[in-house]
Amino acid sequence: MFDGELLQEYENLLIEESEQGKKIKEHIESVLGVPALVHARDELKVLLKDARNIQRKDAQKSDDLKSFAQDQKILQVKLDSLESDLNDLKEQKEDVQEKVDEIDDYLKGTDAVQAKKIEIERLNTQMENHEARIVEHQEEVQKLLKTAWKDVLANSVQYIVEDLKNQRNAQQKELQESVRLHSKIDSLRASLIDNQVCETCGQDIPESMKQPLRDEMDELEAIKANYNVDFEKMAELTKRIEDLDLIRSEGEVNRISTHVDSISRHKVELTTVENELDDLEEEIRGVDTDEIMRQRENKQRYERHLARINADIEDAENGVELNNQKQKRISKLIAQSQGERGLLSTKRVERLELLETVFGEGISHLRNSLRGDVQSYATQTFKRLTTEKTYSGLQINQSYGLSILDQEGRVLSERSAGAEQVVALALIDGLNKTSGKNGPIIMDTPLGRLDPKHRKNILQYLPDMSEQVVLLVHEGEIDSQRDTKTIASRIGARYEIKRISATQSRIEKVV
Amino acid sequence: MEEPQRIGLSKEANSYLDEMLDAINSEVDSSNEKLIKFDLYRLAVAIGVKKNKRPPAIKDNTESSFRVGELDPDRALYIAVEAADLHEQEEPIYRIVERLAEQGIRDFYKAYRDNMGRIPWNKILV
Repeated sequence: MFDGELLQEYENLLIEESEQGKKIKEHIESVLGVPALVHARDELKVLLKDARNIQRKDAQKSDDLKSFAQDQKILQVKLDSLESDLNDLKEQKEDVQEKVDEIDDYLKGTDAVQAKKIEIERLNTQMENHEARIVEHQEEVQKLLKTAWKDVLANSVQYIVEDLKNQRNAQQKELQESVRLHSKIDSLRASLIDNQVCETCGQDIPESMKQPLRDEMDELEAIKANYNVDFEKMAELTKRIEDLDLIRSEGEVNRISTHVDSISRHKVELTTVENELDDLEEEIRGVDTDEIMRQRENKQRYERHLARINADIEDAENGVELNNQKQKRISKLIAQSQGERGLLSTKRVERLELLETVFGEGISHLRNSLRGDVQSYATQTFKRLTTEKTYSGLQINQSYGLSILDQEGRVLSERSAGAEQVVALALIDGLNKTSGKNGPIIMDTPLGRLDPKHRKNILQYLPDMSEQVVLLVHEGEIDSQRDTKTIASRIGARYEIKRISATQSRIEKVV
Repeated sequence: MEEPQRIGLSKEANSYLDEMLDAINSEVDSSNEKLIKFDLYRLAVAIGVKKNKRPPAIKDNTESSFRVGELDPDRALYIAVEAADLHEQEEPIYRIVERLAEQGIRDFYKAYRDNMGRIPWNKILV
């Protein structure tokens, strides 16, 4: 009996490590009869334990084997303790898993709300970040505003300083030119007064050659007279330039501008976040999101606890396995001793060990064989149900999850909801056939997710799935005239639920 | 030309300055970053120098609340205003500083009111 709408949960089987997958696998193996062998092996383990006890007691009587008996006893005490811990851990695991399942039931259908709540938390963090950045930038702006006046002044007086420097340069040029002329006039004068004789030939310089020098000197004197060097003005210009140069800045205005731009950007982003938050808050108004998130946190806490328990279980199981190996080795040593060989207790241990091994391997063999059968039956069914004829079949995994294989035998990584349902139906049919228990099949909303071709294939196949198939379909899921035409002869009876009132309905047989 | 020892603002401009400082300082937590009257006063003068326009006389009496020595310890405002040549012959430079501050604070306040209680620094400074 199953609900067609829940068949998608079958996908859990494909995740081999999932808790749900493990549970489904346990149930499947239970239907297929695996527990019969598992229980038998467990019984054998108990018998083996008793047999080792008797063997140990026999060995105790021999001086040579006393120390083995003692070791065996210590190991047995350890094993009892490990098994007791293991049982406690498994009980704990069941309790915690039950709580996780309860929360899962509560949370079922709240995925969208949870996602929105998480998004709200994310947006709230984003909002806080923007607000914090805005405050930081505002503080920077205020810090810079304290000295921004100097930057404004420095930029404003920059042109004045340039002008003053130009004025001073002009004055300096006049001064330089005046000095140059002065020096040249001095040199000419010296030539006329001091050098009456040519330095090269030693002859007197004639008057005709002195006159041009005098003319040039007069000309230079006239030019020099036009230069009016004002030293007082130069000193004043230098003082004003030096004073204005003291107005220094650190680029406050540009830095303020950068911060103000950042503030604007953060404010725009903040508004966007606030709008998104408003929309999300509106969408979940009236839903107790706090409780949902509390339960979500509880679930995460329990899951962490489960992970720790699983690790402890693995440790305990390894301990048990190691202990068994040690006991087996000591049993062997006892059995090999001269006095013990042939004793009934030793023979019993040897046989029970052998039987335990046989059953252990038998379980693996049975599991592999059952999975092979399920895969083979499910593939046959799948090929009849699917509308995609290029699929080559199905491949089973350790937890009975089935993957679709394409024509090259490669696993399809993605499949539609309809394909999912067809695979799940194929698995059910495969399990049904493998188990050998051919009971009636009752399916609720079996065709809801299917397109018309798949629906037709499944309806045609249903009579072959079991001797009796009961379909619970809602109006619109199936057209009783069109869809059931091909299997009309196989339909035993049809019933309809007639609504009488909101609280009352009646089942009527349809003729 | 004798320079005044104290300069200030009109009563009205003073109240504008107080109101703007309250609004600006309410946006930061750190007391280190809070602005004081001197900060906006100096900035108003600097903006006036930048505009390079002789400021109008102050209509009302000023409340002379700032000591010039504290407001302008390195005489940067004095030097800048003097260099900008915004004063008449024999007119005290710090009286021009005072006028520039009055005009600047009023301009800040107008921008503050027009901008819903925030001074648009980017427009004013750049």
